[in-house]
Amino acid sequence: MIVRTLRLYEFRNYASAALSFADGLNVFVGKNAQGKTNLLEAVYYAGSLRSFRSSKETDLIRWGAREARVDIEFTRDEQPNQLQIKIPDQGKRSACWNEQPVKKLTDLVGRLMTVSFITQDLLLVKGDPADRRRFLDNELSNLNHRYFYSFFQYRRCLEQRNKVLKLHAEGRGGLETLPEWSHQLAKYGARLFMTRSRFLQDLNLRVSPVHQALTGDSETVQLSYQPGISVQEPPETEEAWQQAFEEAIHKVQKNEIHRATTLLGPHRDDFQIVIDGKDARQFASQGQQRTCALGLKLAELTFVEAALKEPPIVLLDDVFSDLDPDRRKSLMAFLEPRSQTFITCTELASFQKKTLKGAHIYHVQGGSVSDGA
Amino acid sequence: MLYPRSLNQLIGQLERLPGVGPKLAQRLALYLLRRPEEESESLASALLMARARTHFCENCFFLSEEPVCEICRDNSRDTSLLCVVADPRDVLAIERIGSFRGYYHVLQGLISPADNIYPEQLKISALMQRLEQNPPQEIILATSPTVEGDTTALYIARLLKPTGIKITRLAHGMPVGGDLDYTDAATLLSALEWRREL
Repeated sequence: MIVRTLRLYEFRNYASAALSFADGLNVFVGKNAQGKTNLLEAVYYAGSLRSFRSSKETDLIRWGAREARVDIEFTRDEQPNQLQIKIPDQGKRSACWNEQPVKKLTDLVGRLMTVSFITQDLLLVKGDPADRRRFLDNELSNLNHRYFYSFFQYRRCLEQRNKVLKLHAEGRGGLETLPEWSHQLAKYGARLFMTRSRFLQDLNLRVSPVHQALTGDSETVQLSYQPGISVQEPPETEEAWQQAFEEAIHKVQKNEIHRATTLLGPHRDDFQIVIDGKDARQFASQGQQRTCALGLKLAELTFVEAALKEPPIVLLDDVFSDLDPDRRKSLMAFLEPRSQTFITCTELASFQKKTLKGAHIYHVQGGSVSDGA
Repeated sequence: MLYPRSLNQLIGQLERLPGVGPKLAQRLALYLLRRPEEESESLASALLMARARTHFCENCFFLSEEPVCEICRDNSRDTSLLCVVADPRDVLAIERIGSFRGYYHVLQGLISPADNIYPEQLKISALMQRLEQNPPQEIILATSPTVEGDTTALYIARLLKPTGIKITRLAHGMPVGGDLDYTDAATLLSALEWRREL
């Protein structure tokens, strides 16, 4: 997958910008707070139809403007594609795919596949379970439409079920619909359990080799899924997950009524990261945790590559400042033959001269970009 | 610059209507003022008339000017089929097809605790009473394929189980005559899941 051109209108701090890209490495260089990350965000947005940092769509519109627009041209399976997304300050966003208006925007999710590594991803290892769940949800939603819809349906069921429990505790509502909400919760929850479990099993096989390529060490990394219901062995089918989930809910229901909230489910999922037999969250150094987080992202990259049969776009936000020169070299050696890569950095000196050969370099200053090798 | 007070009040009232934002409210208000006065009068009297004359059918809770609605009064319809829907608009949608000849029951909403809608706010107990008097052979639960629609259907199905009446649910899947290529992902997914043997 290759992004050919990107045009922005009233997007973040850009009044307008037009960029074209190299097939390999593209570098956005500039001081802090000039708009480098906004460019990565635009590419990410075109692929995921959501931002990687703010949940409010209107944050993407330039201050005082009424509508932001992202136009992007990219090839997938060597076919050229064109995507145009408009984000108005009021009303619904709209999009055109190859000049045809699109009825349901969420159908566009994952047409352009990106794998990104941004500052918050450093939290993947040492952060909360919620950070690791976000990692799972972001990747799986882009790759798998069924997961994407089930995720929203699960969230809705959870919200409704929690409301039933809460209003009951406050003496303002009955429990007569609880069996149905539990059933629905288990149905959609099982889909999330099954997909996450498979994904982590697959990622577990990929992560050690990638980690070793990155560090040059022989450390092994293992991922183990810790689903939000206790199971002896992770079930092998969705039906078995649903049954396990329903049984688990049944057991804790009294407690849930007492505590007035849903205690079990994929919204309580986590996965453990173990480096050479030790829990990375507790025992790894900060540097190790960062490298490990990056390794996880690169393992994900190989997963996406295998699923799509072509490499996704890689977006790296200011990763170099956290890596020593050897790891920078290993990272570039891993990415170079593989994916079109977009990197932001504050100075070009972090790169080896040979890496920058053939790269497209943009200088970013105060919401404008200029070409410059 | 501000509009005169009375105009602002009209805009404010229009804004409270579903689907009408501040801009559309302004446009509608200015349009109404530009048109002849009789048009405003007939709009106002139509609104008051509809309010005064229409109410819910005491049998099925569809809208009617009589105590019992036109559909419920129609003896030529098929008493063995009862179609349960969420909203009066759903009755109209099914009636437009012209091929369903059974009777209806309008729930007046879907179960949604998040919006404070519980079964007792819906016409579910009225449905149960109705069934005791005139049980049909089949009940079609025609609620929308959303989390709330599915839950409402499951809940009613559980209540109905002891009656032994056959309960069905509308299928979800491919639009007829639709291109596979142009079908949105959610619909296609559900069509795959609900596929059936030929």
